[in-house]
Amino acid sequence: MFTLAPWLIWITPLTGALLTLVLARIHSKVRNYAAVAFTLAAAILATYTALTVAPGDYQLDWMPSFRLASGGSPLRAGVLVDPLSMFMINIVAWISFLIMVYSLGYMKGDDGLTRYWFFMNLFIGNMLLLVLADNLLMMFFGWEGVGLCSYALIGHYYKDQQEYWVGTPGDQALGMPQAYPPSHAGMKAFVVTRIGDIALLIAIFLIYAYAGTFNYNELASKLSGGGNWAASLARLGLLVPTAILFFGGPIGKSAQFPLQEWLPDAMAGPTSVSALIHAATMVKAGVFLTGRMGPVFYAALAQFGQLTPFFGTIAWIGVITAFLAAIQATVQREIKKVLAYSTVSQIGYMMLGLGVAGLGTDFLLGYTAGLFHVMSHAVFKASMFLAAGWVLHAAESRFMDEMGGLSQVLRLTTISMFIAGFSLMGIPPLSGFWTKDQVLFASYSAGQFVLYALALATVLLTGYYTMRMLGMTFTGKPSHHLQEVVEHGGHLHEAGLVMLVPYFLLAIGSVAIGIAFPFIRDRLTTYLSSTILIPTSATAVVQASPVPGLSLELLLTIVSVVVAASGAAIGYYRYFGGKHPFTMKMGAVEHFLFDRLYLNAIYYKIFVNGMMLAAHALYRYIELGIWNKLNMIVPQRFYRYSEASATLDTRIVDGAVTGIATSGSRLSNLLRRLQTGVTEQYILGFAIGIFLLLLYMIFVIGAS
Amino acid sequence: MAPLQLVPLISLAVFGLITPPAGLLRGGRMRLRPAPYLGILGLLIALGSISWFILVNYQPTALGALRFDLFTYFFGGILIGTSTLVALASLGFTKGDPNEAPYYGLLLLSTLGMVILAASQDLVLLYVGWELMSVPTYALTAIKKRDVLSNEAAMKFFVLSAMSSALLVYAISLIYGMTGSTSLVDIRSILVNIAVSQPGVKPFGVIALVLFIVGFGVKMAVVPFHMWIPDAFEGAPSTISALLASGAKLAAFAAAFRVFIFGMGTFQVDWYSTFAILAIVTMTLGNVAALMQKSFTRLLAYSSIAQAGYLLIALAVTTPTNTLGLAGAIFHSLNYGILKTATFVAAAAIATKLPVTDLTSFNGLGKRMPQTAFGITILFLALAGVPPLNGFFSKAILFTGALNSPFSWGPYLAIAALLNSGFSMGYYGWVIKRMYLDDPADASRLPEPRSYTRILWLAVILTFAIGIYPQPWISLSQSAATSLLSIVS
Repeated sequence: MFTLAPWLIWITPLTGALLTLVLARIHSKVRNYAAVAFTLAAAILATYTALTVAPGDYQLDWMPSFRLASGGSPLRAGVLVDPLSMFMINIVAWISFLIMVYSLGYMKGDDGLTRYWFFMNLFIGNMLLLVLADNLLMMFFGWEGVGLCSYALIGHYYKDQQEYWVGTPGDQALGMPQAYPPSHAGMKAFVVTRIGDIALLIAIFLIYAYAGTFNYNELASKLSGGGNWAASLARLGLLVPTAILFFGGPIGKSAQFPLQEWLPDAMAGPTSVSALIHAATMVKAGVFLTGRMGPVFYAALAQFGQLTPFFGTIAWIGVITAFLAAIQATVQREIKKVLAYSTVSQIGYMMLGLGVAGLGTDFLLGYTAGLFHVMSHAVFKASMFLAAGWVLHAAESRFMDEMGGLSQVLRLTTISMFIAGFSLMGIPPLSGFWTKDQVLFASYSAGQFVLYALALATVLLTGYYTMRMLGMTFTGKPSHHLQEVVEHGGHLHEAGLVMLVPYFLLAIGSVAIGIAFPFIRDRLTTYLSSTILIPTSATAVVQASPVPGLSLELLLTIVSVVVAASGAAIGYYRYFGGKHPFTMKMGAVEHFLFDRLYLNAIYYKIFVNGMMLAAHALYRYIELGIWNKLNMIVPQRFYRYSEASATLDTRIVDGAVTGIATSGSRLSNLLRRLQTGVTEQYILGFAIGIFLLLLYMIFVIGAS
Repeated sequence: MAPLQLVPLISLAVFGLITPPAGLLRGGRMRLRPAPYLGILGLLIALGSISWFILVNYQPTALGALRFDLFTYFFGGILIGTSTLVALASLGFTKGDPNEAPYYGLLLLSTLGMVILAASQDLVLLYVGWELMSVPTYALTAIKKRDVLSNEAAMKFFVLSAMSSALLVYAISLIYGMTGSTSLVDIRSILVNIAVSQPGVKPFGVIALVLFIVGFGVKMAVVPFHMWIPDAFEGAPSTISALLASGAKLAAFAAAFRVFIFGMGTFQVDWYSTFAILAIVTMTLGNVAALMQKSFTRLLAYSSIAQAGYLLIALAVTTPTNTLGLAGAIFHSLNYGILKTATFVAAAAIATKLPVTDLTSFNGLGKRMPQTAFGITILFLALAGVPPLNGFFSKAILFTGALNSPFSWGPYLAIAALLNSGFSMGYYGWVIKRMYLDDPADASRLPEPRSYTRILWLAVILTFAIGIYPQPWISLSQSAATSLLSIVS
């Protein structure tokens, strides 16, 4: 059976990305509106599919002869229509659309717009592919695709002008500079997430080696009887390590401890990019994947009683991240960094929800709590980022201490920001309140009181830093910097409709979801519970909550509201009305927090400087030292070789890097560069071509 | 009785050989210029006789290693036709050149090689045809002896082409080792059950297959064996680029159709998907790279690579029961031959006054060289496949062939080709936009040499004529496709 709609959801934005290059030749307006139209088409298709297409796995033959020697199923490409994927793509596609609309205004006049639209649509297509894929391999394609686009978009201002840097200039921690240019930030995001991806890839292939399939459905069905891959892995003691390695991918992508350090710097990209990729969608990919494979691992691990190590890891990493990020958010100077840390912290909540699902008896409670929080966070955080984007633009600064009193000029933006901010704090009846509360309730009812306490402390911090951010930005007297802006004829006024409407709509959406949530929660839960991959054994374990119901829930709710409100009250008291201006002269604790717990500096010291030292030492003592004594010619040759490879580095590697940045048509640039006009290279190309053809013929079609 | 079918070959050979000495008669008070006209006469005799064979539906026969069926005639007609266009267009360009006579002689001999390629059903003869086609083109590429760029292009072309010849010989020797024959008819019948009778030799067959793909691929412009093309086209005189882009490439395709679809069609290896991948890679890379070019000749070079990708579809989807793709490719070869030759002629016309290596010289060309600009517009629209021009119908048949193929990936191949086709409008449209919408730095009217505009108008008329009434050409190419797969004694 083949239905086109689910496939088209992710193909449409990818086509749009390619067409951007063509349409850019016609007229810039055509290009801009077409890019947004393609995203809208994907969003409509997503909703259409969710409403009309029957759940199922819509597959096509991909590489029929590609299979394991020991059996296993042929590789098929497919998109999976099930409650989880539909839930997720509708969030992704519609928020993407609103952000694309916002970009129309926000990015106006930027000279890298073709590149911007190309990568935005490419990103959206890859994200939708990631969610819709019915197997781990295609999912991984999307996973890497969004990573690549994220890298390119963070480095959008690749010329690294000072105004686009992230971090306070001149700030150092342990002798390592703490402010980064956009191109550096992009590279950092790419490299750090790659660490998690390697772990993920290892896990995927371990699973494939024993299950013989990448398909989620088949993985779920192969959990009993003869071909039980979980049993084979468990026999080797590899089941828990595999599951945890698998979780490495989400740790990197969703910026969880200890790989969280890339996300704050990723704010060097345009704010619309931060909103889309680093708040609303891509960073949720890790949560989604955990949600996708969580039930499978639950069923796999439950057979051997090994649930606690895996789900415990998820829950603990989630709550640690939530706490650490929230506490760092309390001392930030840049508005986008506050939001970035708050994003990291909120994703920690989602992970906590998914983690405690496997620790308690009611799998569905924690599971849906994590996913609901994805939804509500996507909405309010996208709204906050977009509004912050306009604030930055109007105030011509990224530092909160250079703002202040903005509520007088940016009325609607202020209202929108306050609504979304209250949602973030968890003030009833906004959406964030319900979903975060469910996470807290799930961790308590799973009997994890330490987790609950840490999460509750995070609630306090969230209230505090949100009020601090709102207070420093919008209340009090306009700062010195703002007065200068006004004197220089700056445009300190409300955003245009094309920007205002998206974030205002999202803020209203946060209210609407909040009001509707108590009434639709049960229906949504039932809907998600029929996610076809929750295996039967898992639902067998799920029982009614052992904790006597409502009264406890009400109690916990009151506790968390009180805690959030007191956090907010402290923030209000300290920061509203410009009472407590920001200064770089900080106490020891504040400095420790401001310098990212020195984690960032330590990573740089060990991994970046350490590697360089090791490489130098290797070169000096091994290559030069030994070879020099052996033969006088060899080092010369080596020198020439290294010189050549240095040129190769600067030409090809750096060239490619700037290539990505300089032009949206990076691929084409690379192609053009490939045509260097050197005959030897042509012949090398020849040889590679022959080699690849032979490989394909012999191994893929199996012609030998 | 001397077989009549040999007339085109004999005409090309005889005129090709007498043209260079005829060049000695040049000059004097009579301003004699016999060489070009002798060359064109030879081509016209060949073209006329072949058209006559097609018109009267001449009995298909095999003369030893040569095979005269509708496929040979049709392809021979295309090849000789493109050479005729090239020869006519060169009239102005070679005037006064000391190498004028050898130029036409080499052109005819190269054409002879192409026709032999299309006609041969024996691998040894096929190789002879291959070399006969290639060697004159090396000299033709470097015909401007003092031009460094031209010489460099010829050198690169020579090295890569020599490599492809070597690989072909190797492939032929492997096939001979497997089957004990060089005749494609024998090879076809022996390969049927070679997997059963001699299971050990199958890998050699696979290697031979790959070497054939690479060997032919160099001339067919298959990625990644295409890299010499942009350089060579940029360095060579535009008329010779036209010959390389249309004649030489189509002849390689004709040979590939003979070898893969007829000769090795019975070999039990799924090489179809290989060609499908090559087709998609080739068309995509060609189109994407074309979009980024700043030089018109390089843009044409990449667009010809992309077109090779479309033609490759025929090799991917043609089976004994589904010859629609092949018919489409044969028809497309005709259109492509006309269109590509004429676009290079247009480039030659522009090159007389403006640097073609720079696309900015196309700004406002619609006002400066109206005939040439109009010609390019029509030709580009046809190449992009805009109805009702000829390129639309041949592409439509080709893609339908992919849709109808028995393979599960057929539809994807068709969709990929379709997307590519749409994508190619990007750079075609871009050039057209430059010519008509952008303002030139210097708006002065430029002269347009008649020898070029004649060819352009001829091509435009053919483009419309074939496009508006394509039926005879379609049925002809369908019969040509079936004739390829039938055995003629």
